Amino acid sequence: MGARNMSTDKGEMLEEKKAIENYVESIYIYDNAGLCLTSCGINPENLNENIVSGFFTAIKKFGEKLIPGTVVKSLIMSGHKLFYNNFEKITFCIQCYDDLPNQVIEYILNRISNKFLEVYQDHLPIRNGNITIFSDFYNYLLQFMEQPLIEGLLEDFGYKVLSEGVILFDENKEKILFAKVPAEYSSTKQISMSGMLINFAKKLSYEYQGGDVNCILISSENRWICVSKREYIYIIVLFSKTKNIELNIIVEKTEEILDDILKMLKIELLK
Amino acid sequence: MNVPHLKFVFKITVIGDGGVGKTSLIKKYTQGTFEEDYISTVGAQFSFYDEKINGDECKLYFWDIAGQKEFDFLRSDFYEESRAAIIVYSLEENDRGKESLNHSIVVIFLSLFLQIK
Repeated sequence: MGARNMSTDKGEMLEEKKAIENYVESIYIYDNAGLCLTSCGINPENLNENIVSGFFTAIKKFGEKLIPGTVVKSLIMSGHKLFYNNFEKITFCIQCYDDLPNQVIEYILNRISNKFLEVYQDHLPIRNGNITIFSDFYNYLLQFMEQPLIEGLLEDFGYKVLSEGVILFDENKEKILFAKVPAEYSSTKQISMSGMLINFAKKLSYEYQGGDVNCILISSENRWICVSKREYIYIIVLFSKTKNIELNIIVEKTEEILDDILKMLKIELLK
Repeated sequence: MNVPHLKFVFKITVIGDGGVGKTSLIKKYTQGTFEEDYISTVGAQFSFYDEKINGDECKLYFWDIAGQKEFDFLRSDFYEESRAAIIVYSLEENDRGKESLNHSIVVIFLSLFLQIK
């Protein structure tokens, strides 16, 4: 393994950052009338955004009539999908590749909708047809599309599971992909030990015909340490023992985020 | 002093029985064209008309909704959040035309009432 010390206090991608725009093709925000309030990434560029939002609204209403009590959440087309979320009578829709995990899409939609509602809550519902105020949000969407996605996902994950630190490591490239830990916890020596631990646990598991090892949870005096591996990607998550954490949730959420990230890394390789 | 220009969009619903001329009316208004052949609208068609009023951009967004009975189950959902409605009926079928107009007015007002609630 490389001898670089990648210690950092701030979440940092130590690889080339893959932005949200590498995964998401376009974003639409529209109201229940089907009027597009703002959008970005429309392709082709001469496509009228209100045509898109109008059709999506009509499809949504048709779906609700077709099967009462249900909601159209996504439209899947060859290689692509449109995914919707509705908050406060405003629909947030993204168009992306169909292999992007739904949980990642939900994360993106939540980020956008939270920001939109934070800024415009007092202006909703729109009573006078004036949509000028929403034009500023276009700039936010452009900046948002340039943000690194995996970094954002892991920061969000770390925050939600109340972790002290998260490290993501690529075994093939021998590189730390993400590290948000106190300075002394992300040396290559520590990561190597995690790798050896997983490999040893795998051997032990096979002895008991347990199959491949998905995750190891270590209970030590001061910390919980969760180590998980998928193919060539490791994740190490640290938790303080002073916090009240549900262990099954730790394992479940750690494996979930690792699965999503692996899918996204595979998308990167294909696109 | 420079007054910032505003941008308005209004949804206008166009309703009426099938074949009375809703699509032709909207097409003539928005595109200036007229089709001799009758092609019934499936579901809804969308058209735009842009106008500048006192420097402000104003876009009318027409929802031309199919008038055939087959679409009765869906129609009222398409009225949601409309700012205005254009009710179209034919003068050629006098009695049926008035009946259709009255029916459309009732439906629109009911839908608006439910929306306000």
